[in-house]
Amino acid sequence: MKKIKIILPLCAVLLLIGCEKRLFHFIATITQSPTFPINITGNITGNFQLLIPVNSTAFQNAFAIPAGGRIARVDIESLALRAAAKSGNQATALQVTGVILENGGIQQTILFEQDTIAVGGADAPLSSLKRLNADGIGRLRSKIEGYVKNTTNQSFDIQLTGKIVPSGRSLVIDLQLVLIATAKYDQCLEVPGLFSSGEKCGE
Amino acid sequence: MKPISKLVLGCCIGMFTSLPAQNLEDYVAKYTSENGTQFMQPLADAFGANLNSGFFQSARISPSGLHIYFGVETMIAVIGNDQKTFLAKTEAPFTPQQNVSAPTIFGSSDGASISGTGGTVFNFPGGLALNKLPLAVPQLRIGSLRGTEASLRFVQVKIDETIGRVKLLGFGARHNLSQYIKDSPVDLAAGFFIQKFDVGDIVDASANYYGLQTSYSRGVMTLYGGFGFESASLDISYQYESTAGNVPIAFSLDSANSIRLTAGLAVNVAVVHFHIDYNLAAQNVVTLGLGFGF
Repeated sequence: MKKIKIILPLCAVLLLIGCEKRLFHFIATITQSPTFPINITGNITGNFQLLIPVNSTAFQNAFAIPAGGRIARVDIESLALRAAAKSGNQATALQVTGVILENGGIQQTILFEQDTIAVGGADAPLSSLKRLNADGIGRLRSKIEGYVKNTTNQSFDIQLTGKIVPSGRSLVIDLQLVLIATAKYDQCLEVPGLFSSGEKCGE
Repeated sequence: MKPISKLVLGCCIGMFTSLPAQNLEDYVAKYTSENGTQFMQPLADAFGANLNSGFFQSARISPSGLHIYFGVETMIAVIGNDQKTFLAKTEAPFTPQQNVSAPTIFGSSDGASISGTGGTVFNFPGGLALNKLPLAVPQLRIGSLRGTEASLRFVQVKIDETIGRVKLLGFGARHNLSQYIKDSPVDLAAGFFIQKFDVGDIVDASANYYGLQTSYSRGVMTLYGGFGFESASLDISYQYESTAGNVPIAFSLDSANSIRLTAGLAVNVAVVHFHIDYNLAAQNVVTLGLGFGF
């Protein structure tokens, strides 16, 4: 019986011997989706403007790199808007331009330009922004990467300007900006080498 | 967090226990739709096939008398290249929608990336770069009554308060057929095995096997083989705590019903029994077993 007690656990342990450190590449999704109420009535110009402050705290709270991990890169996966109509709304769509404002507005980078999004009901679907500007996305990517790598905490604003369609109608909506970013990070973890074909750490 | 880490702990005892919880969530949480099902399906196939292995190492069952065997069965599912990639689709609101070959959970640890509008990038996660998926379970056999023996597998481990317990319960029976055949040159038996595997309220898996076995013994050696039918399912359900709120993640993964052929060799020295076999099926498995019995 004593032999059994020794040999059986040994079998299980056999699976775990020969542990080696392997490099794994993980992807964490970071989603930020602030909502802003907009109430514009009696505006015959049909224009609107909204300033969205962005700071490092929200991103650092959303993603904490695990101990021993190394962030390889942050990418912007998508930007989308949702316009959900509220009581009194007459607008059917918005034509929106987004600009990144840094250093108090001195540095401006266009993020997307004249993208048209439909105004829907309370459960309006997300409208993907299709007229994204590569320079703006690059700048946004760089800022967020700095936040999650903790190399900068300088805040910036995203300014949304646009036109109400049809012009002059009342705009009473909740406007939600949905930003999806992904952080690729590497981490060396110990796994049974017998079963893994993964990349060895230090290769 | 948290549930998914323990899920894998339960599914792949020994392999993934070293992966921290956040990593495991990051693996799976990227996928919440059709991509997720295809990403996880090879795990269901391999895990189900592992469960359906190691029931027998002989077809010889005594017509009567007390016979007890207790051992550990170690199953190793061999992961083929076709189980390492799948055709993934980018998910909205990323535009434009595109398809790309991406790693499954067993695939390369390098993920796949695809560029979209205005410099956006959709990243598909990499896999665990696994060639084999191991599983080890204890097994008890007791017989025999009119040439019939019963088998039992049972493991129960409490992980923590959040997850609850990992529990594997399996039972089956085999009956000696050669006792009805006069002067049969080989031993023949038929049997079934039913198993249920749970990880708290997160994982609910089941596996079924039934089939015929034959064996031929000479001295301490026994050659054995089997022909059977197997099926398995793996349901996963939990709430992923994302920065945008809780996201329900649910996968219902059924392994294709499969015919299984088994060929193996057992060595029996006094009360010590060792066996190794290869199982040819939709998911191939190597089984090693060591135990004691009389």
